[in-house]
Amino acid sequence: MLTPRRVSQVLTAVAVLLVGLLGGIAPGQAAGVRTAAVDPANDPCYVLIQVSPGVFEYVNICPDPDEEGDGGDGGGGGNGPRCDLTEEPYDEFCLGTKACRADIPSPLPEDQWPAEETRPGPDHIFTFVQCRVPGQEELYARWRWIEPYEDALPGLGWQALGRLQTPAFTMSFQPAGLTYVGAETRFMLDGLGDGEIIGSVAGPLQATGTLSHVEIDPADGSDVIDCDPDLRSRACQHVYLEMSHEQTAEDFDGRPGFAAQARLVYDVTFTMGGVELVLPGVPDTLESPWNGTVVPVGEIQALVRTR
Amino acid sequence: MNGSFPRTGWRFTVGLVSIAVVAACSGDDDTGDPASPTPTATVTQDAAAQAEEQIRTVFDDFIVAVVEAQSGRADDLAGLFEGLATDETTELNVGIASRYADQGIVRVGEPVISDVNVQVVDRSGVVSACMDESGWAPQLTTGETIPPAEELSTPHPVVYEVVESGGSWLIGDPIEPGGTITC
Repeated sequence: MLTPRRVSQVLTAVAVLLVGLLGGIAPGQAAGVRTAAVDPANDPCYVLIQVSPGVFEYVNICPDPDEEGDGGDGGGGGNGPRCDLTEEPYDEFCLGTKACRADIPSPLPEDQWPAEETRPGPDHIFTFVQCRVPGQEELYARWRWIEPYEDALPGLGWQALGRLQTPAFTMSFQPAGLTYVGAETRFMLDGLGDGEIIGSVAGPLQATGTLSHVEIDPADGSDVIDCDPDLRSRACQHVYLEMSHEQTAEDFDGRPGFAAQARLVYDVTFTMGGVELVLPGVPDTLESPWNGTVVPVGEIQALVRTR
Repeated sequence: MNGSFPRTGWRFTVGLVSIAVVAACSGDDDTGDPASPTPTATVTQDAAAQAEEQIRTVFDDFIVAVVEAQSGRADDLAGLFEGLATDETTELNVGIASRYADQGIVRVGEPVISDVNVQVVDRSGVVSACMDESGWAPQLTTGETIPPAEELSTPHPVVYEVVESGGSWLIGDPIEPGGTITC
């Protein structure tokens, strides 16, 4: 986690250095005939992005002159807002003297963002920004790298949450194939991994899920059981009190049974730069989809008779 | 690549013409048989051919509108797409063009469109084409040219939904070409 960031910081530094060098060289070339075509080609401000499938847009991603000195390099000026954040919806953050709002999370998938070396810092996201410019009627609308302001974090939290994938698991029970009225039926789940799921990064945020417990619905009308399939003390066990011959669900052998199902419940934590955050309004648990198996329940006496 | 008539489209049209010719001939022979199914088939094929032709025209006009919008010469950006594109697609293109205007970017020249292909099912369809943007360069107000990005300087696929609205066809949402179209 830290190492790629360092690498990207180093890359950014190298890019900045190169830009400086090129900027120094450019005036020397200015007398040349080919300058007109050469100069902007090396201009790291202009990038190409795909705004819609097959539809491209050239974008100037460099900060405007009015933004000089405030966070253009992710530094943060720290001398209070320099813009008027009183008019909705352009009340989220300042870009220089511009009062802005941004689409968060970004409407552009991350693999369509400009090259990593154009990213001012690891916490920046590339998104669509609209701003009010003082003394100007028209809105400023641009695709830009921005550092999500604090209030935007819950929006990113939802995105990070959406990137957590619960594992596909299978459910079985013992006694295998057929259980009996009054017997302890134990449910087992396969495919849970080590119980930890890690989502891909959403902007500066990452969500991690830790398996809290399993919910089992035995499907005989009794309550859902909270349990842990690996712990003997909280084993996923249930005692069926009636036979299943009237059930409509059938197992692979065509025997009617209870359509028992289970889902996994995870505790979710969010981290930004390795630091854990609490995000108001964003759920801190995640449930997997339900997945089940058919449990035929017979009576031992009845079985003896039929044999 | 240089002609605007794609091979598949051409073959399709040839097929249609053959059907029409056969239908016309059999029509002459069986003038007294109104129950003959051939005339109905001809009408359907004609309608499809007509729709395809309309869509090709709308697509050509749409590309002209996109080029005009990004040229920096147009005052009424939305007006350029009137009768050619859905509201969403108009908005997408007006957005790009007005951001260009805002950043002092104009695009000079025009893209080369080839291999236009139209598929219509009932009242909706898809138009696809290959687009080469090497001759459609972004230029700054200073007169400097930003060389078109490499991936746009060779023919690349563009695909749009087309929808029928009030008897005419409009260019709808762009669609991910995926691996289905090669240019």
